Amino acid sequence: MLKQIIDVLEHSAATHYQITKTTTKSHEFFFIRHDLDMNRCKEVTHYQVTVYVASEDKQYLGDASFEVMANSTKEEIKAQIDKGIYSAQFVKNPYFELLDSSEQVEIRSLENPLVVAQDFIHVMQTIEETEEMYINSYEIFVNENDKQIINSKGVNVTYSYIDSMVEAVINAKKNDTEIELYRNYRIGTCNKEMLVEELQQTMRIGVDKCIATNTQPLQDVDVVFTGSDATRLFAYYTSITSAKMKYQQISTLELDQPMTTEEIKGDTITIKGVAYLENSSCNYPYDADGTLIQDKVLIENHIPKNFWGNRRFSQYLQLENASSLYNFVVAGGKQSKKELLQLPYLEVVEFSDFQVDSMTGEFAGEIRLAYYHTKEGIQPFSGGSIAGSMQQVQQEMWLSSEVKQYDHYVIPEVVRMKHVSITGIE
Amino acid sequence: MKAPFSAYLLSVEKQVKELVQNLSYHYDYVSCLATDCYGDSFSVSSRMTSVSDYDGNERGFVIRVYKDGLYSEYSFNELKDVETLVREIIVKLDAQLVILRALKVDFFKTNALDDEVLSLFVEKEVKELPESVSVEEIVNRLHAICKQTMQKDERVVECMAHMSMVHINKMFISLNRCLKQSYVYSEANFGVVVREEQTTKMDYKGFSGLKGPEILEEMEHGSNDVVASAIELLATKRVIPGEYDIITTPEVSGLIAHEAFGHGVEMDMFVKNRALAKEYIGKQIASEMVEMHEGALCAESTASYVFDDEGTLANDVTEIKQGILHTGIADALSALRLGIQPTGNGKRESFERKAYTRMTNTVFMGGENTLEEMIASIEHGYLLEGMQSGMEDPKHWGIQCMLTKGREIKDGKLTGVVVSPVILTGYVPDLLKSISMASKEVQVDGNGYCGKGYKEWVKAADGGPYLKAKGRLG
Repeated sequence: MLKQIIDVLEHSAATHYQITKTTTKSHEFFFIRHDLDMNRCKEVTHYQVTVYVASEDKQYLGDASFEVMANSTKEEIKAQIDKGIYSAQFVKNPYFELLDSSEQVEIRSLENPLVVAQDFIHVMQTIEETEEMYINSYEIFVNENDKQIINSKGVNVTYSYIDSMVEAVINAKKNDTEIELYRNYRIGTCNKEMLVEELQQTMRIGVDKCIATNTQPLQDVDVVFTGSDATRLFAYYTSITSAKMKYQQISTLELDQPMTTEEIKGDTITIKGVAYLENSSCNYPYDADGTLIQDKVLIENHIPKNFWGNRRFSQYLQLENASSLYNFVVAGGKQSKKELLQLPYLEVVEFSDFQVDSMTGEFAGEIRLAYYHTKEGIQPFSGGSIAGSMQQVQQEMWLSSEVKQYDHYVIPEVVRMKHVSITGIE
Repeated sequence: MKAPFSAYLLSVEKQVKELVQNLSYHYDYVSCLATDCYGDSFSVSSRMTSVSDYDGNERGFVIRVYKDGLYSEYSFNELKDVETLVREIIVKLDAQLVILRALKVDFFKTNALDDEVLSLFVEKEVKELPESVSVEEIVNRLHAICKQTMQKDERVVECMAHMSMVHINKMFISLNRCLKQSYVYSEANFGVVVREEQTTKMDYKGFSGLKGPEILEEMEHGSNDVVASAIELLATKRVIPGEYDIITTPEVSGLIAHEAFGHGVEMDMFVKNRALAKEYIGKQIASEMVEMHEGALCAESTASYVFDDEGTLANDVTEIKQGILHTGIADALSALRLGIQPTGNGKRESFERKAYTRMTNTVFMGGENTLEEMIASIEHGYLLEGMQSGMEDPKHWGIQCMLTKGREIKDGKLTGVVVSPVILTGYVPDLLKSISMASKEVQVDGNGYCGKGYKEWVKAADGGPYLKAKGRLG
């Protein structure tokens, strides 16, 4: 099928083309408590084709993308490619050069996805449960992906990788109250220690949610993040350093100019994109254009140093050695987490859905569980919400020196901030 | 005109029937959903143009089999000869059973699904087929909208016009059923980014329906007020957190119907004891004026269809009437486990994913009041508009709705003060019981996608009238 597509493209009116062939074989298991609700298997191959048509003066490079469906006949392939070429001529985007390469590269994963799935099921079976804290249900997805990127300028890279997801619902009971906490973990292969620690901790805080009282209306209380929701705070920075956002003038960052003119009283932000993070679900050696991914500092002490992005936007901004990035490391701050946790503060450990607007930096989320730490003790709260803006909080935001990995992000274990609005329940 | 059924699916129908027949010698129930969904997306901004496949394009097959109390599925998109496929499916599913036995996993034993005889062939009506308008015309018209918008105000830094049209074809085959449906829908949105000094804001407007390229005309007329709405966001304040009288626009009423309530009565959650609503069937959970419907038949929108992804016919379910919760919605397996009839809400993100109980159209019914009456009745509160997102909480019936703005009302009048953004939180029965007024006209929007947690994205639509209620804002 791939040969047929290439053959049709080579004899077409396209100036250039790119084909990405992705084969995914997956094993999926769905449990209610520990009983199997359903088992699933999948084997699919997708051929994603992009055709490019250059204007005669090379001022524009139009493109159109489409999937050539498996089982397509040669006539169907030709019809789709012709339609794509026709459409591309009306797309007048500025010209850029596709990546060229003469080296064929192949990197294969050695893991067996069914064995990985077996490991996950075994781990879930061994989680300690009691009548008060137990697993309600879980779903396990393990995908073996084989990706090949070919273009008309000689790029031909193949690599495979495993990515997994575990979705778990934890129940906790205390007296007459029963609650649930939802967890979703994306990782490479099974990390038993991480899963066990995360789920056992979730169970412990679940019991606290049962006895939580309504969140009080609080004024001028610092908010602390100690969990994975904080990755979204830093995703705001990786978003505004993307070449696409800069090109569209949605990001106003300028390289080597501080992100804010206000004085930073807390810790400054340092973020780098990295090609490899242990057991990340995003350890791709090459990006979607076939560019080899290399580590890059994006922001250093609150000063943007590099934008990142695909070939198109990198060329529009005249960036050198740029690629898309998928793994990010946020540097820790000056103080330890112990030093940062000075009373009082509101530690939010569970949101309904914590959202940070990647364009404006505004954030908000309903509190499902928070701990209010004061001299009088620790009071679990539930309900209400927090809201704020990265533009405002970044001046007084502190990061612990200790860091922790959540899939494709490494971030400070503790993030403390001022100027966050807390809505309580009166 | 009718949306013609997929020639591809017609060409493979015999082979699929043969596959189902052959698998039935090994399993006690076999069905196959075959999909062929194709369409195009066009995105135009002041600096970029993109023409690509619609994000939900798919062509593939999912086999569901049943034996010894267990349901299993196999998804694939390369249709090989029947003998090879049968062998592959059995070998791969059996390999999974081997490891499950080694791990001593028990099954959540379920009975076999009924497979009643049914044959159906529906090609739904559409005014214009997607292919009736050229790519050139679509791209030019979207560019014209953007160009006009960029010139409207110097604070506009970017505008984005996006439009998709898709032709859905699905075929469901079991030993006794052969169902085919074909329909077209379109969706579009228009966003404007504005900037004043260091403040950047964005607003957008959505369009959707069971229609083809005629949606372009709606965009051309409907995009005019988005600039003004976005610029208004540059001067907004933050709301003082607290509980207020609120009026929700139909879009926000729909978000509440869907997020705050709808997810809570998806009955696969009843099977797992994850839904508080299970304890409230037959009980008062809303004010007496509240009536809510859910189903692929209760509105004509992007979420409407004739049969669901498990071969169950679509429905119009009265979930709430006179404030009393009557029932939820259920996919086929959940219905079987609960001993009820399925409601035609078994949906898959694509042939590659499992079917779950999913919403289609979730709609508050209208009342008798006017918006003017509703505003005049409020001493201090907000008119809430602009849907951003929401999150379900079926276990605790919490609410999280993120909204674009709130227009302040004082002493029965709009003051001109706008707060943004706004997060609406609270407890579902409290909010529903506080509904005291509703306008007559109901609007349904099908521009969004619905997730189950953070995955399994499906088309959904929701709506309602203007509603007056009480809500906690932050």
